[in-house]
Amino acid sequence: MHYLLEGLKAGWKNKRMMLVFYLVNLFFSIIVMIPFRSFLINYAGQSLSGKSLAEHFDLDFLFEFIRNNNGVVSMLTSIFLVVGSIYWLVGLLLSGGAYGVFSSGDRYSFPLFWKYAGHYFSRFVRLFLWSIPVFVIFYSIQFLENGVIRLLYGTDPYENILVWGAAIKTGLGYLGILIYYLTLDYARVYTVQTGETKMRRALWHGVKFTFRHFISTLSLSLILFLTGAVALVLYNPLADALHRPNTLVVILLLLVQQCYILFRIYLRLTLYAGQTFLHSRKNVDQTVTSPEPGYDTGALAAGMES
Amino acid sequence: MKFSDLFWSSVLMLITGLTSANSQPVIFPHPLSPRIANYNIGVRYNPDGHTLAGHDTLTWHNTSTDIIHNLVFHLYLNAFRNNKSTFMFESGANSRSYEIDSDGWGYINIKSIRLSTGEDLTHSYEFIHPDDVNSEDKTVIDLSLPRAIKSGGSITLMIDFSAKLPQPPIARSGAKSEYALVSQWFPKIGVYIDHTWNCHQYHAHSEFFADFGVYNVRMTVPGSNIVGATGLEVDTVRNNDGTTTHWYHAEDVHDFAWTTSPEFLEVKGRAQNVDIRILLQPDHREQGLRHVEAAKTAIDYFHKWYGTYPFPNLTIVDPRRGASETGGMEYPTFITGLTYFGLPATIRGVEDVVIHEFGHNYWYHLLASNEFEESWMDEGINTYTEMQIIHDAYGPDADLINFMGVQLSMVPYERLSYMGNATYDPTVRRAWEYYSGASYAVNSYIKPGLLLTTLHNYLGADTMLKIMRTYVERWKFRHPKSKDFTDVVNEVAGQNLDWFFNQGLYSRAVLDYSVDKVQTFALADARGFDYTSSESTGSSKDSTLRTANHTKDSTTLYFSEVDIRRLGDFRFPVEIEVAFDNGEKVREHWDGQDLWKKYRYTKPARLVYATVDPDHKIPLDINITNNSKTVETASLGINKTAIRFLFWIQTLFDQPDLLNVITFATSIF
Repeated sequence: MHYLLEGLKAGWKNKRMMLVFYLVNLFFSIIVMIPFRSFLINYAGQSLSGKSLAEHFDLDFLFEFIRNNNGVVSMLTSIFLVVGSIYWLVGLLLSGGAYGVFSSGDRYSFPLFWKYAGHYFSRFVRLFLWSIPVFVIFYSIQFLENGVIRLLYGTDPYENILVWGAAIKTGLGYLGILIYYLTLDYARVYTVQTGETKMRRALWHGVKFTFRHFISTLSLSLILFLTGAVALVLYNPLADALHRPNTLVVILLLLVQQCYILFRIYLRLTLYAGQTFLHSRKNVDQTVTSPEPGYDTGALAAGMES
Repeated sequence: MKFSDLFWSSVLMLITGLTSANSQPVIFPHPLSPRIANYNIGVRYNPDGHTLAGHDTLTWHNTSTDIIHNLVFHLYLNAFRNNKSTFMFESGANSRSYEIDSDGWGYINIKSIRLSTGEDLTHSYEFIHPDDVNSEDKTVIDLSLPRAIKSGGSITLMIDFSAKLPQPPIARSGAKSEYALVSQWFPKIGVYIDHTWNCHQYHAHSEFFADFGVYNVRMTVPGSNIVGATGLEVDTVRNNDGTTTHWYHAEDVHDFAWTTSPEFLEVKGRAQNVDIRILLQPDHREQGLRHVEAAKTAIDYFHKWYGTYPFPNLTIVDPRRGASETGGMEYPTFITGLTYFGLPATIRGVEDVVIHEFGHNYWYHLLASNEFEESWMDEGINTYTEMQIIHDAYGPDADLINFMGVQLSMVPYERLSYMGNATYDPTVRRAWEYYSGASYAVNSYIKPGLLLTTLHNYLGADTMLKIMRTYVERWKFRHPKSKDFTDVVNEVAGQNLDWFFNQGLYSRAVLDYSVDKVQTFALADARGFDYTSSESTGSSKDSTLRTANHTKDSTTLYFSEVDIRRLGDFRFPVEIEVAFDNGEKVREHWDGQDLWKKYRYTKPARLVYATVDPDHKIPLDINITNNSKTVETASLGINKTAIRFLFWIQTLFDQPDLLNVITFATSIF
């Protein structure tokens, strides 16, 4: 809880960093949205079907759109995957900046942030590549469910077993992804705080740290994940309520959506900050192998005590 | 089976047959149908090998004016005998995406055929192939008779047969572990109609056709098994070997299917004097009442709208896990549903399947058209009635799915398949001659469903109800054909609608009307000879010159044009609504015959939009989006959708692990 609160404070203190993350998210998303909007305008921009989209979403329209625009759907999917991959890489870049700023104890500033971002990017890319087998291992945990079901219930279980099993499997799959993120995150924090250049070592440290302090690392992430999930649950009925077909309501919808996204970004930065503080506190006996630009343990400790 | 078991079983069957011949129940004091093919069958089911040992006494009446020299039979289970059958060739060994296990083949073998006089005809039959040249297909036999059957005469045959059910089930029939759904399982005589035998091979995309009759079937199964079947249970006898023989009796039916399993849970209900019996899987015990309510809805609506259901009972079977191939199927007074554990109440899968399958007890059972040659008359008409009932019972919106913000109605659901497969074939076509399975499905189920819904909207609900009731009343138990149905429509509607059916049933014509162009602009001041503007002259005193086309308060007149096009070959009268910015709406009626039609207006108001079929009465229109055009771009709707799309992209980018929920669905299915 202590690290969560510290993370919340540090995240809030660095609102301009939040803006950077948000604008990058918005920029890449708009890249995917623009062709979609263009196709939509071409297809239904001058029809009552397009007009009625202001009031409700019609599945008849959606089915026709998909049926009559197979190529468009494929193209949009490809754009989503390509842009998504690039966004993922840019996210790695930005995380270097964020971890660097939090580790240094300074407030966000443009040169500081981007200095850290640029400094750690290549290491983080290598780290990501090294982490792929780790992802495969943790993601594959969920497939144990198939084996357990077969062991306990044979090859012909009742449907309720299959459905509950599927729910457990989905949960395990998510847990696997979460643990993977944790190992990647703490590997990055370690890299920033110690100046590690060997990413296999950093990755191994990330795995060890995550499991050595599993309750702390997992609970920090889970709390933030659950907070985001609750926010999504609260957002949905609010968005559905904004269905009146007038410009003001649509603008309001946009604002509500972007507030939610901003809140998610804030949670992410809170997570980065909380992880940084947690790692510093729990990893106090780790020596610094090389000086890192702007890294000041004194400022970090002072920040925690305040 | 030990000889002693066989002996005592035979004795038992004989005794049962003899005694029950004297005490056979009567459901209908006066026959409802021409009882042409009447079966007395005794069968023993062995759950270990999923085999059947059967003895059938068939009495067949020649109600034609012809002298009959041969009899033709279906041996449907031989479709699963090996991979050389016509069924297997046509389906690539898959049916509804299931494959047969290596030891899961099925078959039916005739061991002996005798006349009631004892004359042996076992070697008097041969396999024939009326539909193709596949000599390996063994689903039809031609039995030569030593003596012809005169018109009005009859013949009684005693047939011993053995059969094996495929495991897991394929194409509606088969077994899975302790569960068996036994359909198309006995040698079934074809239909002598139009001076010839109508007895097709079993194809991947065909169903069935048979004559009405009386069935007495005695099924011997393990003592712990529950049995459900066509008709009514008359008697149950516990045998010394731990088995139980269940005697079922059915009258005026043209098929007999049954099921058995020790795991069934029974739930009962009643509606309109019909006893409802649900045989439920333990996985779905919470859905028992839901099935009963769905059955009640089906029976009530059909009774109210289409005529009295004459049978006293209905059995609904819930297929076992791993045997969903037996689900969603119809037999006389006996249907199979389809559901899944935890299916939410607002995803109306149970209701939709039950209503659809019960509907078959009208279109497939009472009317009994030829499903091989005119599949739409059962499936298509049934899809239409299903759509009407689902809409009325659970609509008006989201009548099929209303779950977590996802809302889906029947019409868009049906149109989704229709849109992609509308042009391959005409609707009326022999089932195995469609371009593909998808074309079969669209032309048998969906397109006729949408066609009749369009007709319903065109003629009005009352007229359409009258048509359907007349059709049922006039043609039940008589094997109607497409023309019989369309003749009823023409008669009751009081107009010749052959133009509609010729396009909808016998051609590949697609219905697609669009608003191609709309324009509106202010009329310029009149200029040139004979006209001058009051502004340019600056004087109103000159009476020799006409003023421009301005009213005294200078209201601007607008010229508006709407161009409508017929993009498809299907011609249908359409309504067009034209709206102006002063709130005025004009309705035009176009006969839809030409390739295009233009409407022009001069009004003191700008055109806002024009739309074809403003009341959405033509679900057969393959493209609804092009039905309308607005003068201004509908930017609000587009932007709102784009904004929502943007949000989900932003969320997925930030949290790609959300996609993990896909594993839930893939894990179940």
